[in-house]
Amino acid sequence: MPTEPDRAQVEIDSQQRALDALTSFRHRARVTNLARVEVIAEALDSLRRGVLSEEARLTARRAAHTMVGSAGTFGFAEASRLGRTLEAVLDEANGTDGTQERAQRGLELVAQLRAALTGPL
Amino acid sequence: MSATAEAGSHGVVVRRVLVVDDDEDILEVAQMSLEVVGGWTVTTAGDGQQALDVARREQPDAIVMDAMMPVMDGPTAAVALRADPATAGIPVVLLTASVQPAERAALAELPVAGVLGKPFDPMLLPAELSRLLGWS
Repeated sequence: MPTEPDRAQVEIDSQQRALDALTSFRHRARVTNLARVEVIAEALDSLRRGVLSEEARLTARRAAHTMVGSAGTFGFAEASRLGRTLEAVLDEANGTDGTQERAQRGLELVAQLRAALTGPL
Repeated sequence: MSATAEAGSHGVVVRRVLVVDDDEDILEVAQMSLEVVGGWTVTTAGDGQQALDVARREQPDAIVMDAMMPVMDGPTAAVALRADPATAGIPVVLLTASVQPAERAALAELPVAGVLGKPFDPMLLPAELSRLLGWS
């Protein structure tokens, strides 16, 4: 039977293995989420030009929503927060009022989002 | 304890959990978390429809499932799992990135053991699930 110190060591080893795995996952999650940012940026650019389709808006909204959970889980807390704000911007982008201002604000958030995802890990 | 849970080599109960998410990064990190930190056995599925099939076949001790997924979303799958006698007894925990109180309340009304927020801390996920499922 394993002793108490054995069990404690097993737990320490497990925690270390998990932390090591998380570091490698973060690199991949950064790439995945940067691709989501481009989907959002494209939709906001379409909004700015007045040609955003409902399908593209919903796709971008889903990308922002997914990023909230993904980025935060992998330690990109600021990106997760910005993703949530972009979700709200895209929710409001189905009207006709204030479209230019909304697109401009969204594109500013996208720039911040890129910076939040590309900083040092 | 479910009839399917087994005692591991250290006498610790090894739970069998099905994780369901369409985001492969999340699927992988949740699997790692539950296996490495929790010491459990994990199977995975990419949407609610796949989850129904795997749950019937594997009879896991619990299902952790994202709410928003293509093909079949988490709420629809949770209702279908409860309606099927083969899976009705398997507790389901939904994961959601929503912070809207109305949306969270609607999820809690479903036949689920609990609702966990996204993002989650992979180092703490097994403990959170244990608490919700009464496994602590």
